[in-house]
Amino acid sequence: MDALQTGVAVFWGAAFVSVVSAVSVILIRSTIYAALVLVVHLVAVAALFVLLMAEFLAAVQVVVYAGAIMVLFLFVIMMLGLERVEEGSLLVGQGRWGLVLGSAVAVLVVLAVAAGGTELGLGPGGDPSAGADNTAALGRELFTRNVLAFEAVSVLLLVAMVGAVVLAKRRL
Amino acid sequence: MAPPSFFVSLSAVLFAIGASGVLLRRNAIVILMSIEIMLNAANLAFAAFAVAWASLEGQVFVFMVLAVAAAEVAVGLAIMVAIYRERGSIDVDKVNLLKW
Repeated sequence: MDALQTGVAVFWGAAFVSVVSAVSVILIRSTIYAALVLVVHLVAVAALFVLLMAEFLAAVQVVVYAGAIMVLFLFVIMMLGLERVEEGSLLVGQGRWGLVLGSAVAVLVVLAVAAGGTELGLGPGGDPSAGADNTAALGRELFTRNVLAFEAVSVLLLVAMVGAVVLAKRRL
Repeated sequence: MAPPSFFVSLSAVLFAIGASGVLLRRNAIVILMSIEIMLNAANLAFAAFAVAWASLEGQVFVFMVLAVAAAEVAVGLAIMVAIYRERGSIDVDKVNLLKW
């Protein structure tokens, strides 16, 4: 198998895993199993980032999203004892209409794809880092042309941290 | 590598799954997780367009969205902890009165 075929095969595999795990997150009853399946989804999306020549983003996705944000979710779930929360049925009296309209939309999408193909008229593809090391190129881009957004995001993170501490305090 | 339009279509599918999760589930934690799925779908679209136009701006934006998602999860979970402490439940159908 040449490189292109390997790439397409990996795409379909990672896409299948990400879609199945995303559907499982919204259908699984137990909160903690849903969080663990979401970790699988995040790793599948990281694999898709690697396919898109965004290796630094793939690593950051695994470290920050799957490694920090999901751990935060699991902390809160287990601290509040939410793994045993019960819930009623999902669609209260809307199942029939949901099925009808959902199938209509699905048929429309299939017709649209069959008529126009899957090419969206996007620009010419190419390596965003232009051959350089992705981390170095991204760092250069971040600290020169986008340094204002970078600093604003750091202020946002500080504000979020202060807000989270204040909101969760028992007594101010 | 698959063409970028495949990734954009996958991003649309994942976004729809996340949106239906937000609309269907009543458990606030699962709603937050569905929001994370939607944010990931948007990240995927950004990275796909970064390849389509061979520009790093898309990847820079993914970086920003990732940081904003982390901040939003921290604040959202703090709100959820506060609500659970007050009401004893995180069912969003039960948190429908502003002041009680």
